[in-house]
Amino acid sequence: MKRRHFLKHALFTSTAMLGVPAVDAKRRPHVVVIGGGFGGAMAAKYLRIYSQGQIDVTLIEQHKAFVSCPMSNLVLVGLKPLSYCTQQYDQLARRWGVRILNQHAIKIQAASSRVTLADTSEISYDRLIVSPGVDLQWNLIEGMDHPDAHDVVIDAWQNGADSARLRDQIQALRPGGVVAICIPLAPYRCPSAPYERASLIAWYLQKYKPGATVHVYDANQEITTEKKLYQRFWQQHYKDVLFYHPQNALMGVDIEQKKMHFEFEDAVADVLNIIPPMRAGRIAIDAGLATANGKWCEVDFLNFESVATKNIHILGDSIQIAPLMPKSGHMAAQHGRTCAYAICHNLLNMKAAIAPVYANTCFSFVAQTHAMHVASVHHYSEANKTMEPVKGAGGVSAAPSRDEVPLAFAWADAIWADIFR
Amino acid sequence: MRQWQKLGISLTFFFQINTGWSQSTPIDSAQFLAGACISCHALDKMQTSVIPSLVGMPAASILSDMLDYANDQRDGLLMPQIAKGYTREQMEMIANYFSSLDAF
Repeated sequence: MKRRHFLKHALFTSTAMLGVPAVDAKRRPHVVVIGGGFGGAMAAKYLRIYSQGQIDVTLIEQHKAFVSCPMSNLVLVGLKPLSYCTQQYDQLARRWGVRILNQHAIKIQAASSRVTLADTSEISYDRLIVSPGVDLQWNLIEGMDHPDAHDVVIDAWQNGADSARLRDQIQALRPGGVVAICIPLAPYRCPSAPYERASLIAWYLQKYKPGATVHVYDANQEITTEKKLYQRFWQQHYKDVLFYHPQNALMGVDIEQKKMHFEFEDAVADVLNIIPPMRAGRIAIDAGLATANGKWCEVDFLNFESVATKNIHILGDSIQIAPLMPKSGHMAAQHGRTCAYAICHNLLNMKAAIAPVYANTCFSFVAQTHAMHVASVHHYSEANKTMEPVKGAGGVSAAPSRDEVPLAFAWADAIWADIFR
Repeated sequence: MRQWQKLGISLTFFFQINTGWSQSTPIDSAQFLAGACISCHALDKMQTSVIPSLVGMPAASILSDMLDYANDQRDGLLMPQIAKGYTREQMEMIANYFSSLDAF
């Protein structure tokens, strides 16, 4: 492999970076990445690989470590420790020469090609990659402005540490207690994850909390993915534990009474796992990149450049998705790799056709011993200028099975390694 | 001050041109295409995984496996669904790319 060779030579030139404007046309190009998740960290690493060290990369990430959302539902029910989902950024720095800034980016100044950090320092870029995940719209749920709201209600939808907090709530559940999961209208991050979560919590309650139940209040008309597989498994295994209520959008919540208000009914629960409506990450919204309904960022799928602002690329859950493209970590990583490839072509003046083809696999556990998947392959359509699923490819499991459990773990190990090591 | 700035810049540039990278190095389009496989088929052969690494495997064997999966000549939980998404030409590029890699 070429990359061992490239590392010996990887030198980081810092003078052209922090706050210093472009002073020399021949300096190396500098790409700044906001957000070190599946999309951003993948883009940072692959910019270094594809450019063979010719592009300097700075990754701005406010958390010291990465905690994966995929697989984190296993943490909620005690099947894995939080450390299992945790990855470090040190290999990206040491092995691949990515400069990691453990900072919070607060503002994009597109006109001067700079990013402002929380400590008021600025960093300039030739290209900016924005991969901020999602902004949870708590303001759309009445009552969530209560001072104790986020001690009572835990989403565990973007912050790894929250998975441990929600786990503790579930483990402390009283006999016969009730767990509620509220699902927002699609599109939301990770289509299958709420149903996986419901399944695993049902599995846990059945095993450890006799008489306890989990109620799923779904704003959508029906289960949004792998519907038949979930329905069948729930009917066979969780009939007395898991109750599914479609077309129930959460309007408000009474924090003190732990009561949820839906359009036509109210319900109380001991554990309120509310997954709120979501939109593109805040920094992308504030920069005017959310061109689709003010919620999601439209991009050119050949390079993930914003349709609104030149030299700014957006990845992952923040984008306005292409047809049948899930908002998933796996997909975000493919965005990151494609974007890195396209930026290398552009900045290093390399001419080659970019014809992205990528696969997505989302594994879901329905019990400790059973997992299933939905898979798809997507390719670029010149005619429609978007990524489209390849006809005849992809699909779902015939049924959840024991055989898919080791596959799910192998997938996680491989994709985390691909991004972080 | 400006003198020092200039010196700083030229020193930086000196290091840059000595990093040994030629500007014209093309990015391997097969490496890009095969990148999607690595999300599941890890590059590191030392890691034990139920999903095999493809690094260093004979191109003919990767290609025939892909074709068998795509044509429903071989069972699998995932690969029959994935392989159908690729053309034969793309499969050949992917197979040749992985077979060209050394294990590390």
